[in-house]
Amino acid sequence: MVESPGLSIENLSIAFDDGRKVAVSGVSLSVPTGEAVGLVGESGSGKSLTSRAALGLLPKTAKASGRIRLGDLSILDMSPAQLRSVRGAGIAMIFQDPMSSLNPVARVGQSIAQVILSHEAVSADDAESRAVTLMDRVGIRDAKARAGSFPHEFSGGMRQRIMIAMALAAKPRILVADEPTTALDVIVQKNILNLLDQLRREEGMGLLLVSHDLAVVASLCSRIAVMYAGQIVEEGPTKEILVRPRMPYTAGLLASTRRDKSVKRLTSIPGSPPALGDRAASCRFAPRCRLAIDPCRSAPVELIEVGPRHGARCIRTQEMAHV
Amino acid sequence: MIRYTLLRLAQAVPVLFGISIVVFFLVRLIPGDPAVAALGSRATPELIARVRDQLGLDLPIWEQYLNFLSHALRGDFGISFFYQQDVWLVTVERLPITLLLMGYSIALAVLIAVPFAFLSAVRQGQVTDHALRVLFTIGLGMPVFWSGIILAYILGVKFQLLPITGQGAGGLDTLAHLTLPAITLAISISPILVRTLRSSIIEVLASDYVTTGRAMGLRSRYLNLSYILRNSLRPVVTVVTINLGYLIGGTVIVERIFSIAGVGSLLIGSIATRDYAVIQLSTLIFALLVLVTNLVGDLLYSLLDPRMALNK
Amino acid sequence: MSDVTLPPLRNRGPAWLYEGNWSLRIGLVSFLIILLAAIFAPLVTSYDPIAIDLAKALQPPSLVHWMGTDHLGRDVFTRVVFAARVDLQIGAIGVALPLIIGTIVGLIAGYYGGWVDAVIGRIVDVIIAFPFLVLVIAIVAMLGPGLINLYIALTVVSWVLYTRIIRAETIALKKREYVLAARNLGFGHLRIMFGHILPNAIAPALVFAMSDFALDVQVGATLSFFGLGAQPPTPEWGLMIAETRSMMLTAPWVVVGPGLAIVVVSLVVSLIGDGLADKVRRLDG
Repeated sequence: MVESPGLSIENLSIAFDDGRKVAVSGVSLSVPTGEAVGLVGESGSGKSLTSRAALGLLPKTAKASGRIRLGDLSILDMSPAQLRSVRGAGIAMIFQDPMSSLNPVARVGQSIAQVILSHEAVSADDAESRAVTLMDRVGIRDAKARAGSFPHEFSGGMRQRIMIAMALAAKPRILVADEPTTALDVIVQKNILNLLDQLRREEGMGLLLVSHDLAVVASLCSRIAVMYAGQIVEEGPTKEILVRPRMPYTAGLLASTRRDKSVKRLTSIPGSPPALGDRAASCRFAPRCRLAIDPCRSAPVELIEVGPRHGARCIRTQEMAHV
Repeated sequence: MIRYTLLRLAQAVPVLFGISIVVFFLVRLIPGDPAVAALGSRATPELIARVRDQLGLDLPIWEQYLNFLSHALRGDFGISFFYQQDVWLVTVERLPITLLLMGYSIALAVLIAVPFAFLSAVRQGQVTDHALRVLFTIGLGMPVFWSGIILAYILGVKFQLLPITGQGAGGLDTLAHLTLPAITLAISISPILVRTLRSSIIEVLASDYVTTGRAMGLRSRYLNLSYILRNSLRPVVTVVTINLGYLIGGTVIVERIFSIAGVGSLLIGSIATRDYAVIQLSTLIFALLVLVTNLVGDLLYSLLDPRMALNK
Repeated sequence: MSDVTLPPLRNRGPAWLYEGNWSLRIGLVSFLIILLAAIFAPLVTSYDPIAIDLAKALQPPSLVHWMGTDHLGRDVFTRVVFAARVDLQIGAIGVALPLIIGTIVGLIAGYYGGWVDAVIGRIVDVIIAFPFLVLVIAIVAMLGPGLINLYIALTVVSWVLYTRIIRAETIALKKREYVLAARNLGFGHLRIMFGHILPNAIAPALVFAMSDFALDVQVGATLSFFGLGAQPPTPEWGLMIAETRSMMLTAPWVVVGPGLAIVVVSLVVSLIGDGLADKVRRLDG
């Protein structure tokens, strides 16, 4: 297999408390350049930790094992200085809350220009003018004048555009977007998603879109990975996942998405995800699953190939197909 | 911004009025005849009568106050018995060196506080953090006059690093002379700064925008200065203005210990010479200093924080 | 079942005494030791704090004189211990009077509101506008040196700090249900203020009282250092430093002892304050 120039996560586990609490276990996921991959799950499923790990942005108390490769670089083995140079230029990330995610005391043009200056040997003037171009590209009108404004002078949607401009400033190969539209109105959400899609195509970037909202992810991504209680429980082409989910949890997620897009927790599946401390060694979804049988509760379940490039962590996929 | 400034000025007026009343009544606290007290051993019936007349002591109290106020508004606070000079001139002449000393002390205090607060914040809850807290609690517990004497002994006498008296001949020499007093003051106010800075740095380090900055791979220097330091320093102006009274108290002591001819040492010196008018005016000046600094501090704060400027 | 014994039904005193965190415990025990040493000073040391013996002047610290002797041949440690009487008294009176006056005024301002509150509020604003030490010095300078005048000055300047705290607490508390209920039951204003509001409003004032105690001890020592507080030959930490300051070059130990005493008292009191603040936080939360 040829080394992909994109992001590939192999068997990633993240633990806290000296390994007593495992938040993410055995996650493998790849985001090739030019492609959009979605990572879906409820809050607490480990999706945000996984995406942060891709930039080496884990809290000090967390311990990660496995491999994270960006091209031929190994993120988990890098020194802080190496990580710094890769962040922004190799892989960048945008966050959920544009209200609090921009430096309140810096002018936005400066914030963008500094990303360029942090990664390239260009003059401050060049960086400034490129910052203005970027602001223009992400759809901020009158960019030249607005570059001198502070974050609080922008609306939420505009701030998110500025964060995107910052993320693009050093031309990363991979962009991670963690709930980029959750804090925004519905109409603004659409615009931001369209912008991300357009930029991905124009730049040939890989996009890892992390969200609790299956609909958001489905609209942009060609592949989707579903996380539950720290594991990937299903992964496959978007069409397959939407039309023929092969894992009961994905099906439940799909059902609840159709009903109400705004809920963060699943209402269509009774019960709630297991807490960090008591995750079973067997199928973690079994206690809530209406298809669960005894083997589900007694032995660990591996990801099973259920179709071309489509895997599900379920021993009842056959039954799923008939439901 | 202008409206806000005017509003703050208007709010200061009643306080200013109250301050003038307190300062006026200060002299009334003198037991017995203030004229006699002021003259001390020089008192003769004629002199007493002259001073009583000059002070307007025979008028009704409210008239005395109005007299005081109208003179005060013109900068007339009487004649210093000791210096035989206009009190205003005697006192105001010494204000610059006091202000310089205070500014120097604040600068040194920030220089001391920032790195230690950083260390404390980064090592939150660890041994370093606890050790620093104990160290700075001790710093806060040291009376300024004592730490001043000890520092003068160690740095000035033992190692002869710094001059220990006077304010030098201007320029760098003055700065050298003020260094020891300023260090003394900085040690006494930096614990307060460290406490505030530590919690504000902890808050900033955990903020979303610092995470964004890291995710974009910003240069450490820029991240540390513009993202972390600048945002953490925002409460410093407020802390300094709130604790300005405390700093002034320290300044008074330090000026006296190190024989710096500022308003503080003038205040203490005038107690022995019973120069009541000087005590009165220097007290007033220090109160005004607090009032003005609070005002300037508020305005400065809105400059440091662009969000504030717009909201007001 | 028969093995289970119920805890004895006797009052074990206020909760903070036995459930205390370490900073509170260490602080209280240390403070008690200092207090007892001050009260029983003649038992702690065999020297006389005042009698002059020039033959023994300026001896360095030794096993016989732990902190050395001063220029008049007096044992510095003895004087430091005896001085604790004066300095702790300054702290105690400097806290007690303002605490009482400030609390009453704060209760009145917060409870009645309206013009009463407005007038008290303006007075508070004005006094707070003065730097603490400067106003204390100015008042003592006018009244004349001495401890009594120092107490007057400390009271005049610091009651406002307690008023401000109690006023804010009172305003918050008077809208609480139990206070409204007490009103509906027809309880008198005094009973509501002192019986219902005060016990719940006092905690933050007591926490502040600890740092105020340390401040008052420092201010007392400072004024005595400048000749405005305790007068010779009374042993008092600030005064001791002032008297021996000129000997510092040849006998540095003379100023170390009294200074350390002030530091230790400040430290101990701030431990208590931290512990109390922690208690209050836990009670609230």
